[in-house]
Amino acid sequence: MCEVCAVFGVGSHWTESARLSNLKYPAQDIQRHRKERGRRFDLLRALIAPYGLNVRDWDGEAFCVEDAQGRAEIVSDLSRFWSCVEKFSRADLDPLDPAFTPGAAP
Amino acid sequence: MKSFVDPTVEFHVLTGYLGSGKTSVLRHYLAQTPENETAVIINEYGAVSLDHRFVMHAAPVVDVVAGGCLCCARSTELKEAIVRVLTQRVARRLPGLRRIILETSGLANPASIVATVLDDYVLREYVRLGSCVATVDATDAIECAERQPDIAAQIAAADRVVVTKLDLVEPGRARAIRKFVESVNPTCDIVESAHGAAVGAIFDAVAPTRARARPAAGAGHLSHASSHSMTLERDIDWPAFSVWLTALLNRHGSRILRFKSLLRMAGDETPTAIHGVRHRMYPPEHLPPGTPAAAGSELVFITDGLPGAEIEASLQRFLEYAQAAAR
Repeated sequence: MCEVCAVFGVGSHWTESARLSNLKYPAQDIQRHRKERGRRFDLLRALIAPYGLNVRDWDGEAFCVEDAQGRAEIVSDLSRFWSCVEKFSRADLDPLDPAFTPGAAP
Repeated sequence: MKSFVDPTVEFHVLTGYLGSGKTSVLRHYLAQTPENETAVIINEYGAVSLDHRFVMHAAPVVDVVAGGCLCCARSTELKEAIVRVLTQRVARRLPGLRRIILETSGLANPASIVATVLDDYVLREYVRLGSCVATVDATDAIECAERQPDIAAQIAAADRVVVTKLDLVEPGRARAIRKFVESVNPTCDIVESAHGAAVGAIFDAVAPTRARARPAAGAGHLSHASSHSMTLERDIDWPAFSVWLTALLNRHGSRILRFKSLLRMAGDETPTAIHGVRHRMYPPEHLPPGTPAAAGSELVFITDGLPGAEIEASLQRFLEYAQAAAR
């Protein structure tokens, strides 16, 4: 457990597998993982902005979801992220709906 | 954290509808494999287990979790049963232990069993998930499947299907049942069994390349299980794909009976196998160098009423959106 944020098991989610290849030394993988994590946050911010929400990278390991009223919740992985966003926004975010991607035709 | 024991003990699930021949197949398997390699955990609905009496002479450890289905309520008991087996291995009473097989009746949703192993910080250091094997009764599975959705769900979740009781049916029926299984799950390995004897090592790993669906597999006729295969020629953008798939599973995971894929990631030489059952995904597996390169990324969704064409359109739309956003 992370002693600061009290999040259990960060980094073990399937989307967070820092080992991206079968290379013996993982340094290259870790660099790539960090870069891709940054891109993932850019995508998530754009997707939840229409609901008045924001997400910050919490110490490189978890997700901090915030709303305009100042509420914030830390979730450990991308699966929990979506249920947290739905709770804050009171909306169902469905990728099968073309409106899921910002700017798409409703 | 370093493990004291390498996670070399495989954990397999044997499922199948009531009376489909699970215990017979298991007994035959145990008789064919070296002694003391396999421990068996049996889960039964009823408070009193009978099945274990049929296999207890064939395996060194037979543990029973009775009185409920593991999908629903008994995950703590399952963990405790696995720990009891592993404790004997650590104490060197079972030095040759290579695999644990969980035989479970009526199981519709192995996602909770996958979760029991993958989410447990102790268990996952000691065991690794192996195959999910389902028995299908050649005599009546096709007729029962429409009114018993669990049968299709078990076939969908399986890495390998053992078609049983082929000694009791005509050759035409045998072909029909094979076609039926392929229509529900075009990626699974199919083994044929007669007189309770399954040919070969039914719990050996199924090659991840089975994500390449059989081209001959046609549309199934079941209302509650249909498969959709797609090939994407573009490289997969992993951040975008993982955002999309987690959002899809969050909203529709209970209707995605099985997802299998071989993804060609941008910057990778070999494909990565990603698969899951309902909401639960397995850890990504990078295929070894030398794996034949595919024309693109191959994905198979087996769903309960979720239109495959909509899933494909949604993924294409999102990957294009992410590509435009990255510019």
